[in-house]
Amino acid sequence: MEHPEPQIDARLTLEPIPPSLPSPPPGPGCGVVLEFRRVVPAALDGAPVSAVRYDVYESMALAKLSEIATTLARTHAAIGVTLIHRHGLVPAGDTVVYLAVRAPHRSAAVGCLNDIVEVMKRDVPIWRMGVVPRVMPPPPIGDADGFPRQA
Amino acid sequence: MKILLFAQAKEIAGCDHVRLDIDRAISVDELWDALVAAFDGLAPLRRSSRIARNGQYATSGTRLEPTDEIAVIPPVSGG
Repeated sequence: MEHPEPQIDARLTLEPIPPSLPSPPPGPGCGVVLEFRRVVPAALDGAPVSAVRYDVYESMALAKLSEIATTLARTHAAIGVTLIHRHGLVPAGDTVVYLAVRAPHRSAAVGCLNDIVEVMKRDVPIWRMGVVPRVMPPPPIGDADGFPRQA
Repeated sequence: MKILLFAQAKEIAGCDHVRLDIDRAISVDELWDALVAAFDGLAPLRRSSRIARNGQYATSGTRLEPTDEIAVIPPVSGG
């Protein structure tokens, strides 16, 4: 059966990815919209983190994001894919990857999403380069009311 | 021939690109030989990194032309 070409929106951004993104119209054949966000964790290897820096080979990364989304949307007969990868300095708690798959059925959407994430992690030239540690404030001197502790 | 460096390769070489005095098509192995001769610190990356030619991953049989955009791609960690 012939499927229409999937709608692909693949982007890189230095700007924050908003907590909610307007979704394109799902279209008549769309039964599932599956969204995925990868966020920068507040701690890595047990150490508190304030931000993570991502390096990118921009022209190749953008082409790869688009190629991966298009190829795997076709493979799974998905209707559309939105794929946004942030780079630069990304604060803890912020979204670094946003991926939305629109498909006729759950299995197509889940399969497409999983495959895109796997291939992206393997082939898109983006690197997590540095972790900015979160400096914890020193414990207060004195008791909870701010009075010096009695010896 | 201009070679773009990213991530660990950039950190090791201390710059984001290098120019090698090569004016003919070479293989990926020949490129690595020349890179390591110029920056021996890049040697440990040879086994784990890939070479890209004009935005596509090269294979062992790919010929790299002096006018191509060549890049050293250490193991990626995005996504």
